[in-house]
Amino acid sequence: MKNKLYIYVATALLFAVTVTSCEKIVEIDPQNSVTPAVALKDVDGYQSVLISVYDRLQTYGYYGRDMAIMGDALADNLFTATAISGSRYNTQNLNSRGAHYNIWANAYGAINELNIIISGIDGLQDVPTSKAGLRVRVKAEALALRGMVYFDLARIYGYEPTKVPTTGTNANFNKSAVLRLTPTTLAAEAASKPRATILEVYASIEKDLLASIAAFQSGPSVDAAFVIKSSNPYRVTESFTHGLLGKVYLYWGGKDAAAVTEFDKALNPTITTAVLSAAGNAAADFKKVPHPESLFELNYVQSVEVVGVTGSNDGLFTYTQPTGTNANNLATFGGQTVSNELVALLEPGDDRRALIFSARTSTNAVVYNWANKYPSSNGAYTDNVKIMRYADVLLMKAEALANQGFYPQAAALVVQLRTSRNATVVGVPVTAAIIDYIQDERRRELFFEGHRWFDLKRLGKTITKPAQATAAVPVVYTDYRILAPIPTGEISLNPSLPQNPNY
Amino acid sequence: MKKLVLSLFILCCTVMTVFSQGRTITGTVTSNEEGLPIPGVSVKVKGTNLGVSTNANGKYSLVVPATATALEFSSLGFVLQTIAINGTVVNASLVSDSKALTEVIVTGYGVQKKREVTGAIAQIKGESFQDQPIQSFDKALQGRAAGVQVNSTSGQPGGGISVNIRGTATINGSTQPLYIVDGVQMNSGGVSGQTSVNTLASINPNDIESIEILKDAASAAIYGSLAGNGVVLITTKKGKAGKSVIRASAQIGNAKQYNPYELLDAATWYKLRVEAFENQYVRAGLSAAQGAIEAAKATFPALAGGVPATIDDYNWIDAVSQTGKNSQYDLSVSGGDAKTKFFISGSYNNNDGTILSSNFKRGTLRANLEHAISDKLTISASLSLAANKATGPSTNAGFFTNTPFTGVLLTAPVNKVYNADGTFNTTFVGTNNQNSVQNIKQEIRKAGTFQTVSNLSLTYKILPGLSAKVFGGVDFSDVSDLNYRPATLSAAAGSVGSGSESFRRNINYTTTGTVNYAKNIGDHNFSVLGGFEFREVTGTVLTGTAQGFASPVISLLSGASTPTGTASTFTGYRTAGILGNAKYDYKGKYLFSTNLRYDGSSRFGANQKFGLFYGVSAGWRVIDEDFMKSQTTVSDLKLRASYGETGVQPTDNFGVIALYGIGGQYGNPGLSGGLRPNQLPNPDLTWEVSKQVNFGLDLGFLKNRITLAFDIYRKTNSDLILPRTLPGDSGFGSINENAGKAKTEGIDIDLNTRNIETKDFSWSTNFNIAFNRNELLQLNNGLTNISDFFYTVGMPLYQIFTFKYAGVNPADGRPMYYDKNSNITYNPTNADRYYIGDQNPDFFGGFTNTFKYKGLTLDFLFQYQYGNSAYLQSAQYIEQSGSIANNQLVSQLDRWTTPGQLTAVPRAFQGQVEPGGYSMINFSSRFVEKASYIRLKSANISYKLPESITQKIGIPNVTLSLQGLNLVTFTNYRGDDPENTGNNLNFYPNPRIISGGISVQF
Repeated sequence: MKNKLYIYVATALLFAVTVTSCEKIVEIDPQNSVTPAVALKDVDGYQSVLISVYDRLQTYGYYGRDMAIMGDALADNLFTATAISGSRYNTQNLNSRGAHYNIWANAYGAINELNIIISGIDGLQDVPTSKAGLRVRVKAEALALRGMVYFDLARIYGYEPTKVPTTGTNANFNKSAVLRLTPTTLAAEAASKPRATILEVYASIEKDLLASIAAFQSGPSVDAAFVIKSSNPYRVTESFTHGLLGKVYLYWGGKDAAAVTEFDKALNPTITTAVLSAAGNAAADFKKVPHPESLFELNYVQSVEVVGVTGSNDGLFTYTQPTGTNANNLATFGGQTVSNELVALLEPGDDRRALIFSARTSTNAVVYNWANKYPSSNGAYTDNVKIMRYADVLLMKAEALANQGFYPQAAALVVQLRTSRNATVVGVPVTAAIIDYIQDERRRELFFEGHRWFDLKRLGKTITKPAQATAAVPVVYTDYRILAPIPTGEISLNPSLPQNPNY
Repeated sequence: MKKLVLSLFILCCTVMTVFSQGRTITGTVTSNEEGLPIPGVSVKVKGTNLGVSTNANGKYSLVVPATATALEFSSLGFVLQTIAINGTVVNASLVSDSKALTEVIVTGYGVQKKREVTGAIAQIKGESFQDQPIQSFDKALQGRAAGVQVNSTSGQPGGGISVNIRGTATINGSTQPLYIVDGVQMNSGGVSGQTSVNTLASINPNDIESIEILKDAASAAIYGSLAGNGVVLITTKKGKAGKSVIRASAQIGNAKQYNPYELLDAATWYKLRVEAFENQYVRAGLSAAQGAIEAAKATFPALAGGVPATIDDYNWIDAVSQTGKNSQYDLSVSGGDAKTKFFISGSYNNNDGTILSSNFKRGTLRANLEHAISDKLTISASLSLAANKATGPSTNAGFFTNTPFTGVLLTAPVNKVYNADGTFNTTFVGTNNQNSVQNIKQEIRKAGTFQTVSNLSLTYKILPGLSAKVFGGVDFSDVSDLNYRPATLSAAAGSVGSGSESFRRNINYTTTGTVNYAKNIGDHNFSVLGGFEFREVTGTVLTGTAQGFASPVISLLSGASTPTGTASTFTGYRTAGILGNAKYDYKGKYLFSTNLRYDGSSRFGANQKFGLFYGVSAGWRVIDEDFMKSQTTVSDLKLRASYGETGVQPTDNFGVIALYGIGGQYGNPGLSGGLRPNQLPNPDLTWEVSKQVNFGLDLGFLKNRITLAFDIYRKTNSDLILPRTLPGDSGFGSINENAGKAKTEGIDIDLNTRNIETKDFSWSTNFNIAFNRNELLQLNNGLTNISDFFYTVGMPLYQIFTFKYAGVNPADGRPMYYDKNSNITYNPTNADRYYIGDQNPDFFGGFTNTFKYKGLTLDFLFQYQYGNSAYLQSAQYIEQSGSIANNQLVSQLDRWTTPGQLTAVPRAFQGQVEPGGYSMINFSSRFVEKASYIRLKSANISYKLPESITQKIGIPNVTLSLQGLNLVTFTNYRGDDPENTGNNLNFYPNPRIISGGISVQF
């Protein structure tokens, strides 16, 4: 009987222990991934999330390629030779329906991660003083990047604030990006949201960039060793953030004075190492890593990031260099050539003419003009992407000055640039004609760097096409194709986003 | 304790004193069949409670009262025998109980008499597949149990298999049953990344006593959230008290690919090629002669438009095939005494596949031990160790030209295998520019596995009827994979040889504690079981890859100059649950049983960590009612009904918690690793609920010479795990949720007959058939189909949805299709697609016949399946009328050639697409057909040498046997094996194996 009692007690205990420790007993921690609490336990964890954002910028569908050259293909600097292009950009060059930028998924992946940093990093407890400066830097970079990504979404999927068409199918269409400024950490927080207006998005971008600049500037007060003038341009700096804010003001319209102020700050040698290339160096500097003019340059490590077939299938080198007959004799899917119109813009002796060469490919006898801005400068099939260059800022500043009627001052900047390119400065106008001249100068300086589409669009101009693209028709500004389509999956999930007109 | 022994002793003395006037009867009890003594037989004086048990030698001695007239001998598994007392020696020869109804079957955590079963449980005895040339027991399930559909997914020896019990009704959940070997829960599937190695191949099929399949949810519910696809219980052999039995057997045989594709010879193939070019050129407005020159240039590039006088033919299927040798050796010893029983076995297998370099070697050891420490405490251990080595081609389905099955089909027959000097030819024309023979011979793909599935348990009899058991079991495997491609292979030439090695360790352990209580009160019989179980499964993989091998003969990574990558992964899950079973019956006539399990898993979300799974069942043994006594036709009649709720676990081990994973890398100088959120927390995600109702009928006629088991069931799976798309601007793509619903229903029939039974000759038959149909009832987000109509609400799962082929236009030989209005079109669009068929069979089953004449036994098993639509991926490549440089099937000679010709094969046209038409090789109903078949799966002749001979040689038991697997197949299916359909392009067909062997037992 006594034995029996023991057994009953023991059994009861066994069950009791089991039930109370149930939850624990069926938990097991993953080791290849970590829980948010582990990932975000310190400043280094947040910095790793920031690294992930830079990694996203590198994808070929975003800055890794499309932001770097698709702007030329969609406009007039680039002619896609379909016979040799391996089907790359064939439709983009003709502005076919839907052949456009598609950064939605990547951009919002980045934005969610930036939201995690921005909303969480200030809440970290017990940050050691040695990490205080890093905390400021990570947050400042995150704010600037969020501004940059929203700016890309705004200019790809929506109009600029002062350039909304008033006629046509897209008249008064003022929808821009979906604005999410807090992280998605639960399924419930992922609920659908409608698109914000253009002005709401621009205001958010301005706010982020200003907050970023303030954060950078507060760095030295938190940590005496805080570096404002970074020794390389591979991460976002205060200088770049000023440049970007100026660019945003320029796109915004009517904010030219503020833009000039920001451009001046961006190029202030006390906060940036970027300098204008010296005369004679323009071509050679594109083989340098980093480019001496870079305010922000996306770096690639060939052995890790461009291994296997990724580079030869998708990289900038493979798109823009003739197969078999390039300097490295590598096989490519090259078909993105320099349009005859662009070649004609460059006078002999201009250093930038040396960035264009003529060649046939090893498989096709036709001779095309090729841009040499992506010459495998950082390893096979590997080139860094210049997101913002000194010359670009200089020309944007000239434009902002010209918009205010300061023609001679604007012309002086153009002359400064052209002098450093060994180009003649005789014909540079000092009248209102400088406004158009600056746009031509932007083509000469910035071709195959992705600016042309956005420059035409933000000014409300017709997208002209190269004459070689016989099937292409200029795209007037009221045409629906000025805006990129939002991925159809997003629309079927939430029709009230809404989709851009006519898609 | 001592007291008890003492009192028993006193009692015995008293009994002896009281009956000292009686006689002492002695005797030996032997088995009628084998003549061996049987220990533990209960010997009772008829009409009294006086009795003893036989000792280890089958002997007994019993003092009986003067009034005693007869003795009763009874033992489990033998027919009760009553023998009149006549003299002082009474020997008994017990006849084993052939009535299946008293057989014991294994259920979850216990055993049950078959007559008392109320669920739907199928049993397969180990002897039915003993000594067969199969490497894993799951292959033995084929055709032997109604409702259990088994398909070999690879003909690689020791390779994988797919088992579906009563159909499937899930989309993203697991479809495979839970396997339990002697109480140890196993994970099914492959263990190697290099070739197909079945984890269940570590169990030697000859060690298996029986396999039970818990088909209905009520029976399986005791395994809770893992039981939704049924449960397969494997019980290995145990020793029996008595004389030790030694059994040794050896088999040797060979394996052959019995049904390779019939491909064209080079000259005929070239004729088609010329035709294809001519047709293309003429269509383009050029001359046929120009086309012929192009064909020559493409096929014989060295001759610049010329054609060799004789076109040499190279048969690539023959070049990669081999006749594989199989051998299998088994030795087992079993026996024991009243206290200790053992079964010890060892085996060695060496099996070649039907493709060069394909081989499976295995050695196994097993010791199953049981020892009674005292009357109350029993310890038992089951220890197994298996080592195997497999080499063979990759078995990933799909378009991989570096595998033999795809590679040889795509190799034009004009390509040489070897150059004149014996080196491998490496210049090829056509689609496949790699030498398949060289690939197979020079690439190393191998997997070495050490695995043990072992357990230890202690059982303590607390009181009469009450016992407790603690159990610990482990399934542990270490697998090392090696892949090496020397620089001589074109795929690895650029990297100067490439290699990878992986080490995988899988640890899967189960601990169980159970308490069992049984009590009979009059005609009321109760039994209760309660317990707790915990299981953890973890897997780690460590991989290194490298390139730049200094010498082709050094294939280990250390021989490489450049490491290219390392990776380590970890995964795992845990389950824990409280389980219970209660049974009650009244007079063995009215039977009730219930199973419960409160089960939790690390795969379930925080809000749904534990769930209650249950089953209830009842049976009525009508045959035992008085009103049945008056008739003799019906010898068995039982009605069964059951209902249960089980679960199907999510397949993702970490799918419910928020996770940050690798987020690329960035930086200069020095790369930093990124972290990014890759998954939202999913606290509500949990098991798929599987509810099943089952009605069954067991019927026996003519003293059970005819028995029938009939079951009808409906299984409804709800809360199917489906992805819900999230707005992309949230930063996430989708999240899984429990939302969908599907059902499967069917009938299982199992008919056993003993057709002829005479002294020397008998013929018995098993016929089983299962009808099953399923239907998708609901998807999430209001969707009506997913996976491009593969799953469509209101229709069976696994739809084939594509273009409908309308044959060939007799006027010009172009392929025609039906558009959505059933009019002919040459260029169908997506809107013109139809539901062509679904891939579920209407019915399937098996048919076994066993003939015995004296020592000669012949049995053969047919397996069949009817009504499943199947598509032939391989046909898309080899049924192109010669329009491509792949080799082509002989059937392509029927291509259209002349106006007015009626044929289903389009005319040859280089490039496959006629201008303005649709490619003849794109998927359409042309490549879909029914894959019904009947297959003589196994046939076995054995001859047991008569005693007259065995006595002379001194071995009591010698059996010679001859067996065959996959001997004959009747099918209209065009592929090479109707057991594997669909993405069959790289499928390793099942071999035909013929083997002969001998077994001795003494």
